[in-house]
Amino acid sequence: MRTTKKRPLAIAATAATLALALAACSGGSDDDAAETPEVGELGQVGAMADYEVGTTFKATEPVTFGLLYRDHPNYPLKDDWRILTALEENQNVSFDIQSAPLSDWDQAKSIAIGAGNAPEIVSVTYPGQEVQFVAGGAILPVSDYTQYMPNFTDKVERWGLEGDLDRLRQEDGKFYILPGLRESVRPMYTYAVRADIWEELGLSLEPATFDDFAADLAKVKAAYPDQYPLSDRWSENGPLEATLNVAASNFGTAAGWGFGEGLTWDEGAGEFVYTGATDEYRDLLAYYNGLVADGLMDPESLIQEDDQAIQKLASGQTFAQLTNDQEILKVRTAFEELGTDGDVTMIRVPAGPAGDLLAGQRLVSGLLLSSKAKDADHFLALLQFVDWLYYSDEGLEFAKWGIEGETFTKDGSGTRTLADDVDINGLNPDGEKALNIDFGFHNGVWMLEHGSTDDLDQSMLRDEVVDFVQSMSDKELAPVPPPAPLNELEREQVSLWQTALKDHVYQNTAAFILGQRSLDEWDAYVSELDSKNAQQYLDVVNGAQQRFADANG
Amino acid sequence: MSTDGVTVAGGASQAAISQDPAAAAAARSAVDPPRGRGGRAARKRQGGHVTWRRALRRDWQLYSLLVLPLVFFAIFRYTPMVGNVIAFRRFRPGGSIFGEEWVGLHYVRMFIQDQTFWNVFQNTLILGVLSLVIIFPLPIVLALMLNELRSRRFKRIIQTVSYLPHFMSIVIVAGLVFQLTAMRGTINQIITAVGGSAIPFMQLPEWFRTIYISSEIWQTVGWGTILYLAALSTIDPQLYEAARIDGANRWRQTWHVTLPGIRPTMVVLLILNIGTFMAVGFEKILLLYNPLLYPTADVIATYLYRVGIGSSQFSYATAIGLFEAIIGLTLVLSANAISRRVVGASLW
Amino acid sequence: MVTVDKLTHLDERLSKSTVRAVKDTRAYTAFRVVNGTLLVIIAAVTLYPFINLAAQAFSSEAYINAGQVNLWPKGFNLTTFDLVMGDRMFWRNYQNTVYYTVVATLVAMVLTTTFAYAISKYHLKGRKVFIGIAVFTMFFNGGLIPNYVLVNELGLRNSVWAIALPNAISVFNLLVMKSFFENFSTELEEAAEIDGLSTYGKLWRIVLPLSKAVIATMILFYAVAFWNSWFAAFLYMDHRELYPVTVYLRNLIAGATNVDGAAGSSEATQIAANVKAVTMLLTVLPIVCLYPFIQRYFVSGVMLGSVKQ
Repeated sequence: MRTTKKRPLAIAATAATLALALAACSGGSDDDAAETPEVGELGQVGAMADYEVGTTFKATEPVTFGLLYRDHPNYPLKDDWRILTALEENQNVSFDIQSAPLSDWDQAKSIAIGAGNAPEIVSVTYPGQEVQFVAGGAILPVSDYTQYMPNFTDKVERWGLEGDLDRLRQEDGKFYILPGLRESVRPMYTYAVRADIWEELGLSLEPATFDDFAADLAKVKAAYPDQYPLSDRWSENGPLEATLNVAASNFGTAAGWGFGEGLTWDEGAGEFVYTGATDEYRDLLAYYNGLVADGLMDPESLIQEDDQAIQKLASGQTFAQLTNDQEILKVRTAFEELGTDGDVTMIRVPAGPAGDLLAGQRLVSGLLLSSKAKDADHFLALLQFVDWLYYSDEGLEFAKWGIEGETFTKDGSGTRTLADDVDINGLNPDGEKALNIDFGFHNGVWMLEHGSTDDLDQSMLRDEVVDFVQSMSDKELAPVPPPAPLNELEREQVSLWQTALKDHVYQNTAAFILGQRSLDEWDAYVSELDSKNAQQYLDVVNGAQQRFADANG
Repeated sequence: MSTDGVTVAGGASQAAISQDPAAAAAARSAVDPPRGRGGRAARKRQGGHVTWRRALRRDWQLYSLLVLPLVFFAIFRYTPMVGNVIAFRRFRPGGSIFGEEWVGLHYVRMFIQDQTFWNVFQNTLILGVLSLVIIFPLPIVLALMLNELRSRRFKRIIQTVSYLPHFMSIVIVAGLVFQLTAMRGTINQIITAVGGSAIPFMQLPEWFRTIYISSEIWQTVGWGTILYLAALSTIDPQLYEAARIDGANRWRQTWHVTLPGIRPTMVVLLILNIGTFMAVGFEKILLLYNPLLYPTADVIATYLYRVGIGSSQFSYATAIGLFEAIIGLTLVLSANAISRRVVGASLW
Repeated sequence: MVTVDKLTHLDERLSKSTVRAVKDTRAYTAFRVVNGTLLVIIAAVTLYPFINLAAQAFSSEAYINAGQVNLWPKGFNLTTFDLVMGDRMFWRNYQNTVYYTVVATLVAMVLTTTFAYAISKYHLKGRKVFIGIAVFTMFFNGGLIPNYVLVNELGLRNSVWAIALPNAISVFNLLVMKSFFENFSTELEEAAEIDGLSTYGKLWRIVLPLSKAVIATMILFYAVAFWNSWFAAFLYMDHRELYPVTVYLRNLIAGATNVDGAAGSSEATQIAANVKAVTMLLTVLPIVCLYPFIQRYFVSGVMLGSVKQ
């Protein structure tokens, strides 16, 4: 069954299920933009008086926080999980849990928040998904309260994330989501290639440029003329979403999962242009069209189901395919099942015409606080707790690894090892218990997805993945565009245009790559975009960017 | 055909539970002049209006039967309807349920000017009309075919098999469609076996309508025959005897006896289907479509579902929903009136 | 008195009626052969996806993905079945489904039947208004949010009533029942009146027992709809012990298909590809098994309302 899940970081078009809080929150905002609350105004119950970076949070009296919990079927919630008992013992914190299934998480969240039924903490929310709730006042402008979250502010400063955070600010200058913070972007996706064949033909596992990679594929084709060297996957909701996302930054553009709102910041011109109409985007498409035309990429890549693609790779029908550090394990299992001789390995993503760039977010999935949290007695304690669990080194380690001495051990050099009977992600195949299933750690609700220090982030990676990350670490980070928050009316208009434009881009991306439409018609395609209000869209967005820049310097 | 009320505001599409009527008697609904129609005429003959007091006294038990259901309608259907007012007021999630300020026809203008809206409207119309024209007659045909079977057991078996798909939830049906239309799926296997090249069905917009209609046929036709078969079995066998004596062969018998016999059923179902034809299966399309198929697959409900950003999108959706509802209601009222005049049978 | 038994064979007698007394023409025989063949083909085509589904449920992943599974399982194994059915929560949720379905169907039947019976009486004053009230709701409703808020405000969250009440009456079903009752023999009812039965008595003692067909049909319709529904439970149940099995299975598929790309990668587990087939099978099976028991009421008894004394 296909579900139309939105990609993280693509502005999530969460369903038409916005709802309302009843009379209680009527009328809009109560706080002026200029005022930030004094500490004395916040509910003090349970709060620590001297909480700062390095302090282990422990509420001064037992507190219970409301939590909207995302129930993942792979590790169903258990009341007696170690993580819960530990939090109660050590932090004096327990949760009043409201569950919603992973399968329709976004929709459940939207409805709960809108109807005023959201508990204090709303977990697993991606930047961009909070925008729809801003105008109605259902969620807190957390930027007003980050002064009480020392770990958060510390990391933002140390890792230079102010620019990224600015992108999350709304028209009133505040941001409404507490994102996960990453020290560095972690590249996860790349091409997996048949290591044995690459070796046989003397090809490099670190091709310098995409053109070099294409040349390598051509050599493979010459050696195995009846097969497609490359057969790809991840085209469920859009053509080659993952692949284009990976390649795009090296072509100076954004595509696939990274397409987002379709805006590219043109530094020279000092304005936004529409991504789908840029020359760089065309070059990206031209590259893949070339692969198809030369018989190097299987046209079914844009069509086939992921499982089929894996089968092709694992049965030797093809030799290269996009993968990530988890999926490659799945591929290897398929190799075994089918008894194929050979192995796959990850290559370094090559550089492209625009350079050797890596795009990615350092602000990842995080959480929202509902407006009613600020009226709670224990509000300050809540802020401190969230700060500790999600942003302090100690809390991050706890959420990911568990308890030292129980679920893992740490040696002198800081290397962590799982306890003998505990496994996670296949790191310790002999362990009968799983860190997430049996203990509740490594759980997407309490461990912000990939948001972490480099040290922790890489601590659970297999060696090959660490190697991969290292090889990619010398890529330049793609620049972050300036913020351009829209007001209500603008967002209303723009949402329709965005959808129409993106649909058109996606359809034509597929057509151009497959050769169904010739790239000679590029100009015609661009004017089609214009007829779908591309220019009006840009005008609104550029206006908003200008407005924000003027107001905030 | 389980629907779960996933429609966005005010939609005519919320046919809450099932959409397929069954009992034979629906066939005879209003075609019974001596008995049914006598009601009003009889009352008039009695000389005048029955007052409410008299009616209540006489039929209090009947009215009492109405109480609970009416309460249901009042609470669960009519109370939420007030929420439709946000089609004309700006709504903000977190603010009042009834919106913040009057904006008049702002949202109506918004969707009238939206090019994409008219595209999806067109898609909805096309799918609706196709459903009506193609899918509506098929249960009749199948019923007639089944009717010609002599062996009762054989008939029963085929009947049962044909009903089965109705029981599957939409999620399952969508999954089946994907498997059948996959590049290595059954359909393509057949195609390649006879020498053609596999067709990527779920990537080509031109195939979507066929796929959608086919899956609807598979799922609903068998169930639809229940009603017709029952109606067929109520036709007086003596009429067939008379026709045969007059020299009619089976085909003419069908034309002159069978079809008129089930005409009331057909009329009733036709009216009901016309009224709800715009409610093209939201959930099924949502599960089946992908961006490549939008030109033909995107219908109003799915479009609204996707246009998810923007705090006031809900007002927009409600405005569109009201638009759909008005169309639906107008259609069913007209169909009912026309049918009463032309055929003498109507729904109420 | 017409009984169900006599009618059970009525359709058979009809098809064996005088139509056959005369020898068929050759053209007609040919037609019958073609007809029968076509029907068999239709039945086969209809049945095929089911068989395919069942085959996949018992097959191993590799064969499924290679597209080699058609009518027969390849690499027969029960691992996914074990996985799903070994989970206590699965059975708990199955129980919930049964419970919700029963309660919801009961509520729906009571409301629908009483309303349909009342408005089927032509002499009822205001009848048209009541019909209009019902029909109007087929087109207009408040939409998701107002309904959601209403259910919350009424305190129905996390209870079976959140599933049973909001969708208690289907107007389609209502209109069908109304037609059926309109067609019900007045002689019977008048005879009962003469015997001194009140309206309630008539309904309970005479009309309902003889309406088994339409009641069975409606029960089936409602039951199937409630059985397959997941949305109401998804909206209003906050704890997984309260989910019906449809939500459980839908969630399972979402977790197994690793849809969420980057985010899911660290949480994906290797779950068999045929989990979809297995879950589909498990959801459909009970209803399919239930159906034959109800079927006997359909073809035969349905005619009851039309048969005049």
